[in-house]
Amino acid sequence: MSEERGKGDHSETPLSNTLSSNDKYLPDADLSMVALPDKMDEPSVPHFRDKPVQHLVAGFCLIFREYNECEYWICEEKKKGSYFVQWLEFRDSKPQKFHRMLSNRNGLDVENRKRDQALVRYLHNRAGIEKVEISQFLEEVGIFIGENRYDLSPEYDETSEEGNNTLEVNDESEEIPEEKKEELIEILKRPNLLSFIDEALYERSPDDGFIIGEVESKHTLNFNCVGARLGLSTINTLKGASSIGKTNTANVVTGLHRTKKVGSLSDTALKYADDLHNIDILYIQETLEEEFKNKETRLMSADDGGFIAETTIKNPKTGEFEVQQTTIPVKTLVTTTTAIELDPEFASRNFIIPVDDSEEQTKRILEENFKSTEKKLQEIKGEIDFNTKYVDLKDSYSLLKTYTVLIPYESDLLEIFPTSNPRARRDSKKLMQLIKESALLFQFQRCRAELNDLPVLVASWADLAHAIILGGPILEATLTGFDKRLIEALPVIYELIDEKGYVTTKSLHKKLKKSSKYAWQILNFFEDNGYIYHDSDTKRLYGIKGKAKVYIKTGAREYKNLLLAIRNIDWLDIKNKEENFIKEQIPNSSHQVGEHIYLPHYDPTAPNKVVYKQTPIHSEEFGIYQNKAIEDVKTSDSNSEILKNESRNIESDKLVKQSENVEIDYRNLTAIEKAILTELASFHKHTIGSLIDELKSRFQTVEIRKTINDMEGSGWLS
Amino acid sequence: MAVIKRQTKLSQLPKRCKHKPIKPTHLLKWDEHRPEFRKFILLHLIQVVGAYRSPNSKLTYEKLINELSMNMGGIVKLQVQIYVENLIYQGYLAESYLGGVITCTDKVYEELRTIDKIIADKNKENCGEAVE
Repeated sequence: MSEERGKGDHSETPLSNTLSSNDKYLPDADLSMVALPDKMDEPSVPHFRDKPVQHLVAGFCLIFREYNECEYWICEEKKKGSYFVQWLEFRDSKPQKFHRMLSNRNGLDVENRKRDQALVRYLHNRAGIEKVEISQFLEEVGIFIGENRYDLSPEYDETSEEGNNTLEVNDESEEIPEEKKEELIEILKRPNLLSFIDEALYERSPDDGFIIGEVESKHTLNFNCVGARLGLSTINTLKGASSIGKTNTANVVTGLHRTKKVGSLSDTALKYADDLHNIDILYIQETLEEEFKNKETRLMSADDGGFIAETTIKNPKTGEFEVQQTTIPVKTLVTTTTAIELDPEFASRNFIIPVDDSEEQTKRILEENFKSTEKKLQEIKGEIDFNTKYVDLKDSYSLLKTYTVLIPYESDLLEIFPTSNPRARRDSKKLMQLIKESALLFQFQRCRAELNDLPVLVASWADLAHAIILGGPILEATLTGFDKRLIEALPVIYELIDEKGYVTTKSLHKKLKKSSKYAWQILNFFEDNGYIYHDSDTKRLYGIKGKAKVYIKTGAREYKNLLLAIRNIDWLDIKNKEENFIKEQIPNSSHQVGEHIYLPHYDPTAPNKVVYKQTPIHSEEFGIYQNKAIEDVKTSDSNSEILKNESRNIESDKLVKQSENVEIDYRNLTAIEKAILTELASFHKHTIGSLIDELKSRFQTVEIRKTINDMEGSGWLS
Repeated sequence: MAVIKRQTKLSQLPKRCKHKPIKPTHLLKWDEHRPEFRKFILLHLIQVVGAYRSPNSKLTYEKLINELSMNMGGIVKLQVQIYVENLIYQGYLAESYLGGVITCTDKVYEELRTIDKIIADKNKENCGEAVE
């Protein structure tokens, strides 16, 4: 059939009911229109681009073109007054929908920039067809439909099937009932959402793995995974010594997202992974030091626009091998490694997430591990529903929508980064990325609007705070390439140099009490990064023989803490900028900029060992955030034990009772305080000694003493 | 803590069911008990409730009775049960949260304060009498 015939030839001659209805009931999948009766003089079905238009129950499909052995069609359906548009891909005549339906009040014949852009983007990303070509096609389709609307539209569109008619624009959330959706949104609206996430990652059945502690690592990884869902891709490498929970952290966090786990990142594996379009994250289980030098791993960064895999295939016709190229779309990568040094090129593109290997963290994990029977019992007896929060959180993530994030205080960030370090270029991007991701995660609490039909989201000062406080240690690890092992080793190296004038592998390995290979790797790292260098003069001076390398400090570069620079931010100024920005750019917005942020503090009494305290922007704590909570706990413990033990012994025989004239707030008592007060209310008389004896089966003696002391201090006891 | 921090279940957010608590089989005259005794019970109560603050564990009627009996030095459970029933009836404990979760109400904390005052006043009186 000719093109002209297709284009409106029969616009005045409506199709006969009987004929068109024959086709209309063909199922979506069966598009073999060959069976069409060809007896009429008039072409029964309009043609577009030499192919008959395919009728669907409530709409039609138009061919676009063949590309890479696939046929692409666009299809429009009308349901309940809305037009739904989507692309279809046919491979071996099997249709695949590869993106969500877009709904609009108008059909394809009425131009809608937002919808059309989205359509172009989807197909371009999927098939790699040039955007210009797709736009032209859409134009053509618009004209064609405009001319043939009458022929194309089914006769009784209004009576079409019930069911998914009320389809929302976002069809990922399609299956979630409205009521549940509201509840899920409530989760995303929580000001202490981070606390909820923390709990969700913790309250898991012991078999599934859970995360305790690791505040910065898990939140940063989670931010990046949320970003992945919404189109911001990153590479995340969990770095640390072996068997300290890297895999666990990665497993639990990526479990919240659409993740594909792969063993390796080979060309063939990636090419034949047909589900890449349904996932956001590629999780490569373990990456060895050498593998970081592979091109595959390197090129998975967004800057490089994905990775082109080349594989050989046998052509069945000629029997010869041919090279086939496939573009693997950019995905967020998550991987773990024990390598001390990463390929610098890879490292700079990467979020290197150090895993907490501190003693406190080990204690936390051990405590949890030895609770597993208890947890298991609770699970078996049905007393606990472990995964609820986790599942809810996972579902709620599917409600997050893509926005263009605007950062009102961008220019202020400029001053934070040291211009002396060229890596700051990429790291500044990483900071921005974290800010955007935080804003996207908290999108229900941020100012949202549409500018020129484009949905935008204004990042808040709180997002900067999240990025710095949670992402800071990771950015720093990335900027310097340091993980905890290296940060700890550096002062030791400097100390050795100050003491002896030089450091060698041997002296470091003795000092660190680690293997000499470990010491060698560490020195090698610092030499490569210009913190120390091998000096043969010094070697001669001290008369050191053999092959040993003798390192001394380089003058130019001392380790500087990036975070310290970041902490000098004027938060109120940032907040003002945000408010002014909203006022100027989004005048109708009723959005109120929040005053508070929830900051994590380690608290050994909380089940997940972390509490998120509401901190106002004016608070002092803000400027000088550090992991000090951990240190606090440590020092107070050791102090009380050593200092008070002695003096207490004398007083142990003194009678204690509750003071009568002091009002006690019974609501806010700690467990020990309650226990002490209860003991005092019982019908025995108590001395400090007898109190401790009574309670020491339940609490640590040190803690009991400390609490008694505190209670005396506040006048509760006499 | 007036409300137990518990695991949020979206389908079962902790809402009070509106029904009247059942009248206990042995109605006690709680207010006529000695203040020291009431304080003793209430303090034990907030201890148990506090111990179940972890989101992984919920306090139920049975657990409460077991714990109280154990903590108070092995008091017969039937005896404890009478008290718990009465406390629920008097509104110190709210049993009717969904899922059978039990928690203490603000009334407990207010009562504890009142009792402290009563005890203090009583002691003052006693002192006064002794001086006279």
